[in-house]
Amino acid sequence: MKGIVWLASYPKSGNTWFRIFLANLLADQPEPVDINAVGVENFGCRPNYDRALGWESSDLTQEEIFQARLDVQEELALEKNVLFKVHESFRRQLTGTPLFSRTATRAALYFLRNPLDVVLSFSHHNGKDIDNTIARMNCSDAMMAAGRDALAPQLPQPTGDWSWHVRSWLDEPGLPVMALRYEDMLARPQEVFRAACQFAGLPSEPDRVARALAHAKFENLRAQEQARGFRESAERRPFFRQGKAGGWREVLSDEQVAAIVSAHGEVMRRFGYLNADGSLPK
Amino acid sequence: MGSLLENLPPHRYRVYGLTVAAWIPFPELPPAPLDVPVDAVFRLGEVPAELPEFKTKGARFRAAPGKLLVWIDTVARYLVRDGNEIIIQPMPGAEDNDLRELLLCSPMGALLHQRGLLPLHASAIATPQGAVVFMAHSGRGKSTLAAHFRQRGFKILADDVAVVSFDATGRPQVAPGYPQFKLWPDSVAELGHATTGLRRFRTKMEKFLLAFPDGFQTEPLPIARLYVVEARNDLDGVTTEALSVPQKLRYLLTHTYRAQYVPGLGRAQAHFQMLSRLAATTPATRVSRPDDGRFRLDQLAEVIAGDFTS
Repeated sequence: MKGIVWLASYPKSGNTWFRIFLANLLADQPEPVDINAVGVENFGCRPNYDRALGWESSDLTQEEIFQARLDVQEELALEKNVLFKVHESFRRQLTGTPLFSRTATRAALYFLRNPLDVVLSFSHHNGKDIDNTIARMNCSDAMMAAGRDALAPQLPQPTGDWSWHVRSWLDEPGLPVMALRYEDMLARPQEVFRAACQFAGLPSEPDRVARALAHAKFENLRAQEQARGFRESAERRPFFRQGKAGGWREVLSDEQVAAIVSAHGEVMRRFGYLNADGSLPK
Repeated sequence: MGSLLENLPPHRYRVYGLTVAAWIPFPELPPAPLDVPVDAVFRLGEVPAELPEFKTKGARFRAAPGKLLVWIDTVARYLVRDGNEIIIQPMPGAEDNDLRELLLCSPMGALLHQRGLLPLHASAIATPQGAVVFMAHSGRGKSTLAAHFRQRGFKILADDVAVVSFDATGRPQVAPGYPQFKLWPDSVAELGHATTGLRRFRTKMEKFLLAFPDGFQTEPLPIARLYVVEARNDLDGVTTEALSVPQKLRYLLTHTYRAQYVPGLGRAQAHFQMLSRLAATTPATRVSRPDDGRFRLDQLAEVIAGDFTS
């Protein structure tokens, strides 16, 4: 089947867990897949982009790279069974211009997680404090791999603020997208992962999904990382840290919670991270 | 060839073992005398927006046997023909600096493929053992490493693109590129320089040019050894590993400069034969360093120098 399936999310929202599940699902082997040999790459990895582009992106300006982006996707979409992980918002918050080609898109799975937990996980991943991470999640100009003084191995990826990110993917008219809450993936994995596979046109036989889920269990991923490291961790801080929901209750101050809720309350309410009256769920 | 050699553009340079005639000065290239036969011409002209006979394509290129069209919307369209001509149609407002620097990237890569040469995405230094080649993805330190060896007194053959050919006896050799490093600010700082006063690679990019006219190796050198330079975050220190022939082939394919043009240019078989000859005759080592943002130039250079002198 042609066309790209996007595994889209704000960082630290279950995307990598799904990718490792998917690698196990596609391999369908008795032993778990090596977490450092997971096939699905970030669309922003330069080698793929450069191959489809015909230039070295490191020789181009950021503007030239953005201008070619949708054309690159349309080239890659001609290949078979293409999946990419992405952290960009669907449209750029500053300009409203699309960062994804509808022509190139077969489907999108959108992973979202309580932003109160995202803050914890993201701040740990980046080695930045909580307040810095909250500011980033509230910033319309936020960009991953923005590297100005050095060439980042990945292309710059505009995320926008957290609410923009969620809405840009889930409210894009006519986009074939399925929302997956991290909390539901944890609570009802077999049902949620299987539904995602069916939506994206991936293998979805119940036994096969169950086996892939067992291979991608949090404890297995953490054990593999402890034994051999994980290439996607930043500066060797553990990537697979807790893998649970609600950790924010033990760490965030009232002020920090308020800073997130005041910026993202509307989207939080829509996805059950905030009660209708604005109070936090127990 | 008749029409090509008439009305030659006025400026002459040597690059990758070729004498080229260009329509504007290319200050980064070593000059060549006017009475030497010209191998390739860079000239202004009309370039079509499409190449109807293309065999393969990408977002910004079309490839057909003997022809490659490649473009950047706001800079120029380039048509590369038969290994001896690059026609440039600048876009309105494009600056000469961008026209020139981009010409030396993808269009030049296509010209080299059309001539039956093997351009690798690599830097190369001259050692008493012969040419030592560093292959790596963008941003993984191949230029920084070569510039560091320059500071250690080695001459430099090429930065970014190292062109391999086979001499009369079939021995692989590297042709001299041109004496200029392209470096990001972190590399410039790592090498102990300041970016102040350095020319920019592109007018709107934080990527700088460091010329090394004195440290340039101007004659081709047989290849002593190939290195693949990687950064991995599951390592504590620098490691080396000798590569098998199949591993060498895989890396040479990955690090062939503009490999995506090769099938469309009709050169897939010839290209693979060159890779096979190179892999069969030349030792190669993978050098990995921890992916933690530190270059470890001294340590890398010690390990590599220890390896190629052994």
